[in-house]
Amino acid sequence: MNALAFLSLTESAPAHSPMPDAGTAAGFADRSLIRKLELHGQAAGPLGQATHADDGAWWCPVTPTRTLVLGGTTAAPAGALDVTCTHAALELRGAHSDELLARFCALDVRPAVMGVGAFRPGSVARTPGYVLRTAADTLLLLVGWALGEYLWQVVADAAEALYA
Amino acid sequence: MSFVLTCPHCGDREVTDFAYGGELTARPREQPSLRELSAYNYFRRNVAGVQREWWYHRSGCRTWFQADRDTRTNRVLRVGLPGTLPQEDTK
Amino acid sequence: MTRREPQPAELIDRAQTISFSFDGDTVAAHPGDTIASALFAAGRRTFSRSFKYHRRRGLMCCSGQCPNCLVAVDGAPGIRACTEPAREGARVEHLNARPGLEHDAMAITDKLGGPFTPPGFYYKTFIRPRKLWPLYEKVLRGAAGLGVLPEKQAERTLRTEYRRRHADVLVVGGGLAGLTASIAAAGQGADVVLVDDGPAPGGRLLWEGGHDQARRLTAQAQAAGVEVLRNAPALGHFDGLVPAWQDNTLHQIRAKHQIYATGAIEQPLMFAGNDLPGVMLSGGARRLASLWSVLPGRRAVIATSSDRGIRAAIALQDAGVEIVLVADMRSKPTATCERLRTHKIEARFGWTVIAAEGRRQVSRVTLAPIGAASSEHHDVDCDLLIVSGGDAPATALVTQAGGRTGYDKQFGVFALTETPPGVFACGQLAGEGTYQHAGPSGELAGLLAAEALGLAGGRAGVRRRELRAWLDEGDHVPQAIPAPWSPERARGRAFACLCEDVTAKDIAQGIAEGYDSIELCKRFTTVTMGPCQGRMCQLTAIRQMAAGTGQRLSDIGTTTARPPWSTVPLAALAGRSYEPTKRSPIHRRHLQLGASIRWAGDWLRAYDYGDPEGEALAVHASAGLIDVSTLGKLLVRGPDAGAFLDRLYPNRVSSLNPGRVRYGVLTSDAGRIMDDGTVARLDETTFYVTTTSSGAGAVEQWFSWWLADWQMDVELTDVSQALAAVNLAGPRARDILTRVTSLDCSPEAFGYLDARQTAVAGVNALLLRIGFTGELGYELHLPSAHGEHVWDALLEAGGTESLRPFGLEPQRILRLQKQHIIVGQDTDSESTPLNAGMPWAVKLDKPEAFIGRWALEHAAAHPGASALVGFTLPDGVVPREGAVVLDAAGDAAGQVTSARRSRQLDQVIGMAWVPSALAADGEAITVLDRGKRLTGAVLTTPFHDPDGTLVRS
Repeated sequence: MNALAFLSLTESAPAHSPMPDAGTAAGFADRSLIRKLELHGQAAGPLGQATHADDGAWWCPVTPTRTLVLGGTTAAPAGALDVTCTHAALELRGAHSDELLARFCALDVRPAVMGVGAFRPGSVARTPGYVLRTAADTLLLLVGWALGEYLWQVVADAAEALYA
Repeated sequence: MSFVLTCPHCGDREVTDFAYGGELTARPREQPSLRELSAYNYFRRNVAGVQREWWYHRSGCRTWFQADRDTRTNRVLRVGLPGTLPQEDTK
Repeated sequence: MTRREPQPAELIDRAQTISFSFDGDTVAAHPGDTIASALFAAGRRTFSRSFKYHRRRGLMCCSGQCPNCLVAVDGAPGIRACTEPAREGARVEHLNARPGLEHDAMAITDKLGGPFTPPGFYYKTFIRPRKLWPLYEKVLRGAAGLGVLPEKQAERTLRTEYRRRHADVLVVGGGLAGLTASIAAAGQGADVVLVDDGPAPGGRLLWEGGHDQARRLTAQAQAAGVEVLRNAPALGHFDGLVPAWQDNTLHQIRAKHQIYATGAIEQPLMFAGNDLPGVMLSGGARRLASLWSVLPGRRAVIATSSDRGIRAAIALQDAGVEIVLVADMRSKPTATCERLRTHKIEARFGWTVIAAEGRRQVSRVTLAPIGAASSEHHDVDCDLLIVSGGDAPATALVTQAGGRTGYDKQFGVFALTETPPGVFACGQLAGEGTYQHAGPSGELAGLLAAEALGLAGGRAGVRRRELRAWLDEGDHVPQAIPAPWSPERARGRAFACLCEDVTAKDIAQGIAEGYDSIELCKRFTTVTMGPCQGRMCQLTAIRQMAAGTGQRLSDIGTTTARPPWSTVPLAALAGRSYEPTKRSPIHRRHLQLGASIRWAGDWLRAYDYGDPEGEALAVHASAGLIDVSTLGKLLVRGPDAGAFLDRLYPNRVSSLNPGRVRYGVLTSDAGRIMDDGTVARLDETTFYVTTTSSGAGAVEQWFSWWLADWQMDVELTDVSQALAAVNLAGPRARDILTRVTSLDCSPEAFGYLDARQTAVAGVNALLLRIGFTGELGYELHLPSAHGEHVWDALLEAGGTESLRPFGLEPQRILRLQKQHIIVGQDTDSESTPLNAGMPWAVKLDKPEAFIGRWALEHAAAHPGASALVGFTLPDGVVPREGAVVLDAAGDAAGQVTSARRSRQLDQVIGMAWVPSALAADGEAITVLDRGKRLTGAVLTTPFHDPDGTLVRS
């Protein structure tokens, strides 16, 4: 048995997201259970810009020697650390995604600064996180797993006011 | 205090993204006297001016780096990973 | 409601009528009205009672600058009626007058005045006897003030929003200069935000006849992509971050460059009775007439130091106000003054106003030539006195940004002399505020900002030079500088500060008492400290200071302009009330089980399930299950991992065999305990470190800090939140565990301090045989997403008869029975492992250097004065944590850090710091708690199972 197998999800066992079972909401959706891998070694591409792989994975360089791989279906590369449960993930989508994010995050996500594939480690809702622009109108947010429900509440509250 | 600090990896972020690690101190290389040990543990220069200090990008890439900051104006002159900043006198 | 015929610049929608209440009376308004414009249209002239003398105060600036119209809206005090939009159903009330605005009993202070209300009166008078201060305070606070907060804050909820906006350029101020600047910068491709505190951009254009141009420029700015924020005052400049408050949203604007176009603040004049309702700044009167189509008065006198008053005279006459006389402080007419003749308005040059009288409002003013020598004067009956004492540049925000000001002798104001790099100023703020100059000044600032961004190319450079040359040629229209007030000119109070009722005489008294710098004068008299933040009073106060002390104005200087520059509810600064909240992956189960949930650091934890003592007993009797997912968890991997940990822990880590666990305490270089936890070796190069729940972040920082310094071949990964963790503890723990795993859990195969990996309920898990509770125990670590599944499976395997969930509180009882410390509860910043009863966790004989070694070597050779020990209290009282431990002489010599009643042991147990001499089994200690002395006995070994037989079983 791999010494770190206890980090990986077992497909046959029930898995729960830390976010409320609220189904889909207007403008945002729970993506916590997507696979997340951490790779050490030479990062792929320049910092700040993720690469979209053929299997759908986003290879996000965090530092020159650390890469976070989000999603994807092909087998994990050798030496990859399964960190699926380190982070909860929430997707903001629609024309108001950037404005919604601005209600709880100080990152500069203007499209001219942060186009599709741009990746930013930084504070999200006053807690450590990552922001990835997966499409022109879609942002993927990651925060600590234990803060998943909290992030959901913050976003739901902001969305309610924004869309009201 | 709400200045922008530049993480060597992530770029510009609000200072609240970071943890402050204090001014750089030199850890004794070999067994210090009690006086030397106490000075190392408890004394800080606390300069009014440019000092080299530790910062940790707690909310981002989780990297420790160093910055030369003017404590009077919060102007950050330069940042770099440990060992990359010029060894000039920052006092 | 009396209104003029519809005006082209008016903001009101006459097709609709709304209503609000003022002190219970219904007031009609149109959408677009402010509370003040509607009240004024309805005939109200007294809007507030003054801070100290309870004098009547009426509208003066009509632009949110002065304090005269402060009211409470829907229970929130401190709202300016002149900028607050009239809303249907709003409940508006006056402040600081009883029983009412028209009959204020405290107005007696104005009559008595004199001896009772000079500055410093309260401090000097009510200091003795000290005991009576609470009584004095109650009376005084009731007499003075700016309103009261609602008794029940819960009744008022203000939902505020925070919005981050990044931009290339922020323009503060949407007058002619600011609008033009925004258009110029956006035209070069910059991302521009413009904030303006008015209901529509345009500034003075709006009410001085340029409303069409204002609308055109606003449309042009928006077409160029400028985000225009109306009714959005900027609050301050914080290292480049500029918050602007709009409606219920705090826009936090971080732009690469700021252009300040904040204009100027029209200054009042000093004369006796200068605060009477009906005394109005020219800008205020013109705003009322143009924006809300309300005539500010019928018969007006105008006193001015510049062309501003002249233009106001003409405009107000056109609006239908009879202009009786213009007193112009300047000795000679300017070109603009020629227009007075065509309008048949009488003017006296070299004259000014020295007094205004009237019972409820101005009814008569006294005009006189400049210079106190002559007794010549002229009385005029009127109901409106327009004053215009010159324009003081609104430098507060730009000085917060790092700009500097200096005294401008020509205009008698403090003008901007220097802007910091990357920050620009234009328009009246920059001394380029005439109608001809403001546009080019703004355009230049916009182009300069674009140039700083690297955007302005091509013709922009040529255009910049043209604009600069043109602006430098500009000539200025003469202005008079108002002289300081000399009280011998007329009887009555002349107010320097309307907010706090500070008169010219008060400032003179301050000087006489030795407060001869403006900052001291401010603190003694409170001038500039009120809601107007010096807008109306700073220049006047400085002039009075100069006259009284003989100093030059340039030497006196200004007070420091601090944020917030505009009034803002604290709720706006607080933002939405959400606090980062961590929940265990098993949190929902605790809620379902009826746990009492409490904060523990930033976690919500199951404190107990209703019966903490019973839950603790169940662990002894059978088995318990506790959620310990909050533990910090770090992976330390790589060829140097063992060596790295050897440098951090005072005991050895690299000697640990794979599959084994060791307790470790982390110390600082001062030898102090920072955190504790376990280290498990998973294979040659992989270590799994657990930390305390509250110390997780700090340990991760600590590890990565030393790693950055030492540059060892180690990879550190924080997996704290990736893993759920539960502790299955109690004599039946093994039986229960074997029902959900195929692992051989026999003591021989899986002994104390072993680490094993296996599937539990079908889920890969790491099992550590450790025992914080003191009973046989297994800590299970597994992916967070499977937390609920494994929790359920264990409870099911145990059955309610044998397995009971237990919370944090029973765990604290259990660990106390074993004298296991909680870092931060039983230890503080002075505690070392040596004096905290854990010398076994320090291996000074280990060959490796480690953090804290030098200090611990010193501590070992020089034992401290106190030590952490266990104690029992036979008389059964549980002392509070923090209760004092007394020495033989009855002096405080230590404190209780933990104490609980243990039902298992049937006694009160605890831990305490005691003098070292008492740190031996059987020593008696005295605990002082809530006035009671309790006698206890020291025990330095665990109260429960001291040999650790159970935990090893």
